[in-house]
Amino acid sequence: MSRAPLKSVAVLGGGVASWMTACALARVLPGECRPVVIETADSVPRGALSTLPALRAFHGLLGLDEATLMRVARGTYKLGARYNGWAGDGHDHVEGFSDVGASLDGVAFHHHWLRTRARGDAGRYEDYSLAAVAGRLGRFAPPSEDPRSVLSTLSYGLHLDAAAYVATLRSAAGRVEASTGEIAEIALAADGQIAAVVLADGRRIVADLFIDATPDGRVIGAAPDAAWIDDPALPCDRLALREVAARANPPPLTEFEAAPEGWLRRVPLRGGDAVALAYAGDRTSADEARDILGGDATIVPLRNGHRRRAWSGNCVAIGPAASQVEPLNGDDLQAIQSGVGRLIALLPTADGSPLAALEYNRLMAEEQDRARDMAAFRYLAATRDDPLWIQARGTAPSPALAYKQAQFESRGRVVLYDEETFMEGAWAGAFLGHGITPHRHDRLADRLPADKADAVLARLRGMIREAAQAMPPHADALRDRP
Amino acid sequence: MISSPIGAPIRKVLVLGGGTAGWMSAAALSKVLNGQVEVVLVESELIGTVGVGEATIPPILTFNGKLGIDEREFMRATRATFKLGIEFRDWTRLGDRYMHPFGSFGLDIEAIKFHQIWRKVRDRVGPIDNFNLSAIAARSNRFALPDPDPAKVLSSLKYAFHFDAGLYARFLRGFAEKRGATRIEGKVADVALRGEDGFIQSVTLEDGRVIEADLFIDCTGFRALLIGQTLGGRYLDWSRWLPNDRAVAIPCDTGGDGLTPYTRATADKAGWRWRIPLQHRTGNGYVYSSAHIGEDEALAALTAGLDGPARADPNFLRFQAGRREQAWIKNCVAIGLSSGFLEPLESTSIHLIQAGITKLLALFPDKGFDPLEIDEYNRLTAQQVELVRDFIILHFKATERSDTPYWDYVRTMDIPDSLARKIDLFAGRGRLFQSDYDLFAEPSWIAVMLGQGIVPRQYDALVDTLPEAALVHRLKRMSDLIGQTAQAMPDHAAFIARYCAADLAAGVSA
Repeated sequence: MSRAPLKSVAVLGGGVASWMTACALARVLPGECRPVVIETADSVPRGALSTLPALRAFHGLLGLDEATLMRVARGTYKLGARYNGWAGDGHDHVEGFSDVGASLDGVAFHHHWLRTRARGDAGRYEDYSLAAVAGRLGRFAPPSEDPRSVLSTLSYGLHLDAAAYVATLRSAAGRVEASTGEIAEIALAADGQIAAVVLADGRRIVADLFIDATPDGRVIGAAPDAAWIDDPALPCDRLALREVAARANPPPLTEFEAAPEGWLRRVPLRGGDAVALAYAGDRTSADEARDILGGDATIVPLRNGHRRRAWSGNCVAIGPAASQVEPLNGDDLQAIQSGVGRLIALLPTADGSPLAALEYNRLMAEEQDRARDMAAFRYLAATRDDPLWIQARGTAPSPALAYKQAQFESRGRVVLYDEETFMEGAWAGAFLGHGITPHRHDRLADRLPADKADAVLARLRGMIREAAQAMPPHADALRDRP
Repeated sequence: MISSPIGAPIRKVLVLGGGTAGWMSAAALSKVLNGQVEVVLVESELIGTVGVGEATIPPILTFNGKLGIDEREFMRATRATFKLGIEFRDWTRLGDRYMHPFGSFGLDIEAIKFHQIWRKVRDRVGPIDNFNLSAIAARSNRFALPDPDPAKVLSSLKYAFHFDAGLYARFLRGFAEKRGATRIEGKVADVALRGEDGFIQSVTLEDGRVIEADLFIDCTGFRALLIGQTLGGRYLDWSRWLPNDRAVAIPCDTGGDGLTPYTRATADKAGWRWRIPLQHRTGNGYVYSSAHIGEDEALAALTAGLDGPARADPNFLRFQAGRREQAWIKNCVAIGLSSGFLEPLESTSIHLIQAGITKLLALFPDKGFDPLEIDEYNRLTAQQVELVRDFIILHFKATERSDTPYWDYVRTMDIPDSLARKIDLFAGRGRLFQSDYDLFAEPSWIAVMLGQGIVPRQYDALVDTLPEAALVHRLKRMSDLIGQTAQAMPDHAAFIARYCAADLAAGVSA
């Protein structure tokens, strides 16, 4: 038995989530089905985006030219993220987008590093990541495809201006019908499905499938069993956004600095740095936040949590309408990208697909939980004494995170569950960077004679440093890709 | 004293039991731990080994590779043949047959899964087997080693082995002993536990010798002498989903279709029969449910299906599908049948041994025996075994057979939710979401789902973005290339004669 394919899709909200979804759907939906986008005033994109390398695959599928995108969207390169002040003043580490060291004798590199460190000088763990070292030196070069080159261990993400990114997507969207409008009412059918979205100007938007890409999920909120569930693991509920003057040679890194009120993020863009302060509204006023950022700033709400169901009936929430996590992993857009990818893999038919929705909700919830764990971990590992930080540390971690951290502390084993955004190297880098040191390393590392291991590590470190120093400054790399 | 998480290193490991599991463990430990740990194996010639699992799956190449085993030497010693997959007969309905080949089907196009594309144009391009080199080569009894050049079609061939498990254990024994492992002949009379924490301290043999160790590996098969009888580890029963609880095995002379480069699994009245061709004989068995047929009837059905004269008396086995709730308790790790049993329908017995050893090495403890390491071992083991369990249940559940009460039962039984969800998603639109813990990758699930008659009602909407005529053309070229590559491969028996013929006169009895 074959079901009727989708005939109409309406995307509500005009931000990054809605345009990423519309662009992708426009490429895969059958010819007679054109996505409709209704852009609401409050979904105007703000601030900057700090993305993972995986987003570039999405651009590849959309056929988006990276050089053009970077020019239009004020793009700069991102080799990783720098965290400072988290484990007290003086704490400073970089998590880079490259392999760290090399697995030796079939044993993950961090065990060899732990072993050499216990015996003497092994340097910092990040000293073995080409991306981290180059990032700190403010240098950038594209990855090499030659597996023998140390440059082949690199990958990179992008820093983008959100509004300009949306403009780029909009112009690349092709057969999408976009208009502005404000949502006045959600009309439900007797079975709880959405019958229509009524706009303030009187239009009735009717579709087989509704995508809620609004900032607050006001469409999905009307559907059954789609209530919002707050996540108490993360303490901030506001973002203050501002732009400051560019530095002469900005590092190809997103920088996260812990502050008494929360944390500050600095994203380098062409022509200016986008800074953001994440803070808690009940502890810090908007004026205080503006003072910290040193001038006028836009305040936007942030609500850590997720929908009980991101897909309910004929409505799928994507982006902030579905889930929100304090953006302190530098994984902006990841949840949107995988939501869109999964929606397409499970593309529903016109009469709804309860089974597809069930699977979508299961996979997205797991992925969301794992990414939230990474953010929550950064708070748990922090050693600051400010009230907000003490409160955050007092929140119990999810059992999955507690188990993962205990396993790492025991002997550096990284437990990976299904649907992880961050893989073994990223977790090891975060654990070690935030000061979690395993009690011991993997015994199997001891098969390599100690003096030989020390020599290999010293050579690796030197090689990586040399390769990083040979790269051009980030500013030059950007100029070469005008 | 508070037990410190940082303990002294393990100095001595005792492997109890010398079947496939025992010698695989001893061989891997003596090689990987490279003299840092003393490896002792205790076995008795008076205790027979089960020797199930004479067929393997491709990861065995990784195991042999890690040990540095020479393939030809190993094949000669174990009288091995190559295996490209499993042929299933009479599973969906009587007279039906399909292949679960190794390797994947076709090539994805524009990031769209091949099986989705095939689903759309299958009427014009033929069965999905046409897109798997292992399947096509198997059907025509051909074999060649894969080409290391990834641009060549022949690089897509994946293989494993059929071998004599008894000879494999003997081969690994030689390997392990050469690397310092010690074998002690004897039967265990008693096991002594430490008073303070109930850890195993030593085993006492019937001749009075006492053997102490830091870590004990229980490879005593179904008896589970250490993990079960001594430490009281619970066994989780899965017989409501896998009712087969008996097997009868008989080797016979080579005959019938000869040295097929594949295992055959034929569904029968109350279970299924295996056929595994080795160089010197063919292994056969009938795995059945004792609630549905008796011993005599099973033996008669098995005997009637033999390719040639029987070479030994029938060997009857009893088992219960399930797993040990904790495969690692205190200082004892169960590897092999002592840790659980799944019928050898997908040749997973040896693979689960290998997976157990790999995990043990990754989590190799010290004398502190951190409970976290033990938890992690048990968590991973449970996940892996349950995914294999689901894969095996799929073969029984997805059937149209209603010719006997046995098939009525398995067709209509409740199945684990995890499997039900998987079947429904595939049946709808061919969707598969791979778990990282699954030993069987997507192509295996596709082969068996389709083989068992679960054809997706629809294909991925993305396929419609590709021009159809060009797709058909491209797929036809793919299957032509695969067909031509298979035709150019030598005959399997001829390849073995040239590559790794065993000295059959050397007189190893069946």
